[in-house]
Amino acid sequence: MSFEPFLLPAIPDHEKIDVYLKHGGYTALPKALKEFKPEEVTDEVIKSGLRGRGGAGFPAGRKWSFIPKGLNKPIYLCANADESEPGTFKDRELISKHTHGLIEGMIITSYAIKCNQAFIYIRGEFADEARQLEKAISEAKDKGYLGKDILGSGFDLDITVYRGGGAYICGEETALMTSIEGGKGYPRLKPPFPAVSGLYGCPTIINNIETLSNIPHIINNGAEWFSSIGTEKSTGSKIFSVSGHVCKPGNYELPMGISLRELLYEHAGGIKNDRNLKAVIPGGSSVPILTADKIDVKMDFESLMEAGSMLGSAAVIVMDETTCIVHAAMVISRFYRHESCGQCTPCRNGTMWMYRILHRIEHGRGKPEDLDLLLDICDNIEGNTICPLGDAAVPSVRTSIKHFRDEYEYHIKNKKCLVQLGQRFE
Amino acid sequence: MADLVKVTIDGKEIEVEPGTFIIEAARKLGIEIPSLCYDPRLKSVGSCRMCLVEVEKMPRMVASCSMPVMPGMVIHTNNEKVIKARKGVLEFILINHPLDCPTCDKGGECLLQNQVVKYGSDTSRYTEDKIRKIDNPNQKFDDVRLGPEIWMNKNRCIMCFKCVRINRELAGGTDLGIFYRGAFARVDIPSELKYTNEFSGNTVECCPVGALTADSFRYKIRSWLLDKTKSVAWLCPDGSNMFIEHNQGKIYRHTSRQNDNVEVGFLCDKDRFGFDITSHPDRLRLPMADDKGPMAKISYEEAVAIAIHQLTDIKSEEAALLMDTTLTNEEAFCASEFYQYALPSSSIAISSEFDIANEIPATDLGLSIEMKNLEQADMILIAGCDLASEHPIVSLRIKKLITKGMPVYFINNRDMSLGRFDVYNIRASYGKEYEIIDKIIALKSGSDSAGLFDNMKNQLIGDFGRCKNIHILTGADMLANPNRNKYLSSLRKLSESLKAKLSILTAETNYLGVKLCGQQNSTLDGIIRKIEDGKIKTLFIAGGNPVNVYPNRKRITEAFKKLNYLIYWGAFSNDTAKLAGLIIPAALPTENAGSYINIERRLQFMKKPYALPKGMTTLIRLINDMKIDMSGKPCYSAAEAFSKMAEAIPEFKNLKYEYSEGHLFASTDNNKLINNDSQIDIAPPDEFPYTLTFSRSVYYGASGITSKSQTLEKLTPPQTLIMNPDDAQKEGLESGSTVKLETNSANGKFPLSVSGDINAGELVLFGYSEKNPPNEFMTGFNTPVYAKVSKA
Repeated sequence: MSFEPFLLPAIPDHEKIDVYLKHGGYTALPKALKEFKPEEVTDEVIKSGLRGRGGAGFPAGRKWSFIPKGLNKPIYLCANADESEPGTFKDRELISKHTHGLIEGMIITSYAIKCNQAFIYIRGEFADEARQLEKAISEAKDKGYLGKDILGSGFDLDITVYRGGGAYICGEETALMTSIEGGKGYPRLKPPFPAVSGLYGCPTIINNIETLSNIPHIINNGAEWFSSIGTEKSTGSKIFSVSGHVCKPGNYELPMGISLRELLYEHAGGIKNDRNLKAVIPGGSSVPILTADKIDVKMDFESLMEAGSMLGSAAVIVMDETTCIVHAAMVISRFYRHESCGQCTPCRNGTMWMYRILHRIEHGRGKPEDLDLLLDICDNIEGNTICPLGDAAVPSVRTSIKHFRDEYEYHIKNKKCLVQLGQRFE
Repeated sequence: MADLVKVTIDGKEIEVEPGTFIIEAARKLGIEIPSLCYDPRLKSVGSCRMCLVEVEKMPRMVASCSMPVMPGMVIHTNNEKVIKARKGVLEFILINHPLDCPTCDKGGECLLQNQVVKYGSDTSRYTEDKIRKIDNPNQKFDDVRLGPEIWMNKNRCIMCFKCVRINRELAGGTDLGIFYRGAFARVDIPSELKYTNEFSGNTVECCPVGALTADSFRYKIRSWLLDKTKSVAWLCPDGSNMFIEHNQGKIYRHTSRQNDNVEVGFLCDKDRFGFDITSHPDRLRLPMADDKGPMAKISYEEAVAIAIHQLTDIKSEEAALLMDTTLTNEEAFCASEFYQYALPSSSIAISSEFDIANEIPATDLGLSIEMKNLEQADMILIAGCDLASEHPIVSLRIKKLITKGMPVYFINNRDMSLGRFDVYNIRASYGKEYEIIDKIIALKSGSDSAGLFDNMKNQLIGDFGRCKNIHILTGADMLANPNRNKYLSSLRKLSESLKAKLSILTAETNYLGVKLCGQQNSTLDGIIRKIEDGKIKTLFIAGGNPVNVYPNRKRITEAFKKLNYLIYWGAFSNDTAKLAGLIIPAALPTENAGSYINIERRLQFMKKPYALPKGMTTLIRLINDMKIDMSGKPCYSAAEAFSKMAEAIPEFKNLKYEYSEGHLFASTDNNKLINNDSQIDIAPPDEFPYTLTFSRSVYYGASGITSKSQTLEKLTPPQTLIMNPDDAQKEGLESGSTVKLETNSANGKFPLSVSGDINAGELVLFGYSEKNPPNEFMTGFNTPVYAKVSKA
């Protein structure tokens, strides 16, 4: 069975409303409003097995069902477009090429969770995309897909685009809410969970752009169709953002469970200059590094977990044999040091300390005991923080030492890279 | 009540109320979980992570300061995993914390120091350079000034957010915050601002490390050299409990002594930083008399002899006693008892800013419920009271209510605020406040009331329908209002129609206590009139500064000049002392033992911290020394005086000195309507087209004695004249310019501030200064003042 991409279809100008309408756009919305009760939409999404595409992979429909019943408070939907994970660039393409698909998905989701005010929290750097979204929202309003009494169903919805300041932490759902409220992007303590008390103290659902973009297709084609794609527990397609030392980096929408080898060699054109593969980070900078011998791993939530990594946001960062892993780990930890919000101690000081040690090792001032110290710092950060940012800073460093300890030791002993070709991972 | 939740902590079972945090549940079992950022009085942030515990079946360690207990939780607070995490967190905190404990002011009382001793390592694995958080590269020292009183050392800060939360939750400020991110994050304020608010001192006390220090205390003394004496705040009537920390007869600071019924451990800046009044250079140290020509220093024994001589040679109806409101109950009792005994037909009065002695009985004054029970209210109406500056501690409870979403309305002739907290303002014109209240009563009974803001109308109706526990607070602006009696009777009618409780709050320290214990038979106004008529010839002033209190400075000064003899027992050489023939230096309340009754009628005791310097005396000793020579039963101490009070005053029956700490005197809201509905029309003459009203800053207290505190003087905002924008435009005056304020009796120059918060046709003279005391412009109790403004 050949797979036809539906999130990123090969249709030119698909972001324009006329093109979108011509190719079956806004057909799921009237269907959902007429044929489904809100709860049935949620049930359909639960049945489809759609899991959150932001990184954690939590079943989307189940998340919606956590909203407490009978609360006399408004319910909010936030689309998380604060895509900041190093290596991830799928949401940006989705917004720019599948704009109305996202909006339609948001309308259906809002209908399912009975929300009348939705937000798109978009990263500050995505200025063009934010403008495009605003344009698309006004187009949808003109056509009656947004606003009061949508398509005569009595359901009202308004979507507001909220531009962030470009902080990685604001992609964390509670920090995102604080940011929308006008505060500094600090994550909040859980409990209470956002589905109970989120934005402005009201129940709030936060979903990734890719998750929401899947909704119209599930409504149109049915849950069975969706769950037939991918693996048993990881259903549907996934946009893999392939970057690094490959011939054709880019976004590839493929069914879940495709093997890493197929992704890299058949779709992404293989390793640049026919070099050997050294390591792959399969889900963005916050997941453990896989070594080249795991090339046949299936790219889905369960298989990657088994292989010792995570699917995360499916940002596949490829490193060939010329990459200095110490430098790579340093660059990643520099990112987390820079993006730590500074609210809780382990992440605030731990990420800074890790970066400083890695920086020292990379610049030839390492000490033999540094490696154990680094691993101990990893232990002290992981699981001890308010939000998952601290946990995200740890795996790359920890697994780089685990798999490439000899390279670190060489660095410390000889004050230079083991990799002589000297090509740098930036 | 919801069912209790059963949890197991370190193998011990306990049942606690749902919603309790794990750290609190553990505390109940006697298990101490270390924490740096947790404060039960503030919203949890869980930022320090010292309090991590392991909960079985939970994937991550949880912060016990912010995780509520859930049924069946099995919690480990001391296993290997927890200890490792704790040590790790402490190591993280210490990597950027400077090793300057020997020169740090917090050394010895530092939470971090204590925890490092308990859980920390003796060596550091951190070999990198510490991050130095400085504002500019040329900065020589790490300490920077956030405001006039608060200093900040950003390197010592461990990001517990306590100061930020105090600023936000107590003062309602948004200025203090965290700048930058990650390891470079620091507490700061925007550079164009200065950090001051009425609760800023709490940030210093609550700071777990020495990051925030107070200008008045830093580098003065080590904390372990200080003796602590329990005392009660004496500059406002809220009665915050505090410790006086002193060494060798000098007070270095006031710290909180947490009493959950009163201030919950948060002192306002006036009480906290007013400690240096005792060591002000202007303080009177030796008695002085002018009986041999000009004022000359004499000994205490000579002073007593002169006083006795002056008081024995007169007819008793020619003598009078004025008691200040900062006197303790015992002092007021002793002084008035002595006067009644030795001079039976003399006049005795309280020198109070408000002429209410005859109209409102003591039991009607003060909060009608306990302060903590205010938190159960579901609606608060505050009429004629600048709550934030008159009663900062009461306002804390109101702020908690607002956070819970309860409506708070202010009714006054200007817009009132409680920091950032949302309040509704119903504006009335000065002297006509009763009309607005009558309109609200009409609104409640269903008739349409024109004149109220339309948006407010529906909201009020909704709130009246919903709220069952309504409280009405009223204060100084009502008590000084020209139409006070009408105002008060309207408020009483309103409280009846809303089934609300009315509380009349005085702004003076121990007015309730002095009124209850001092056997006064006259009023300040009455005494002044009798002096003017020549009926009173010898006056004894017990404390305070009546010249500053009486709302007509010229009149009281002239009257005092007419006296044959004025004896002044007071702490400072002020305008009252300058008129006296005999000055006897007084002990201030913080240097004294005795009791106070606070605004919620709670009896609280203070201890004497140190022996008084020679020459100064307490009122009890002075009276006693006079008594011995003038016959009468001696009474040597406050305790003895208290036992006499227990016999003489029915309210004090069965009370015992110090044992009756916290006794609440009953409130009898007898709702007596004053049948004096006479009404003064506010009609400014053409020559003086504006009505002048007065308001005070939060740092003013106890008849202006706060201006003798160098610290409070730094904090006090400058005196300004506030004017409506329309009026300012009409007069061609600009905000910030200096203007001349004239009444038919006085004039002065003030900076002008233009604000829409006040009514057109009205002026507000804000603040107090010794140079321009506001009562120079006043014309008497409850009389309107008319003024004109021109370019200076």
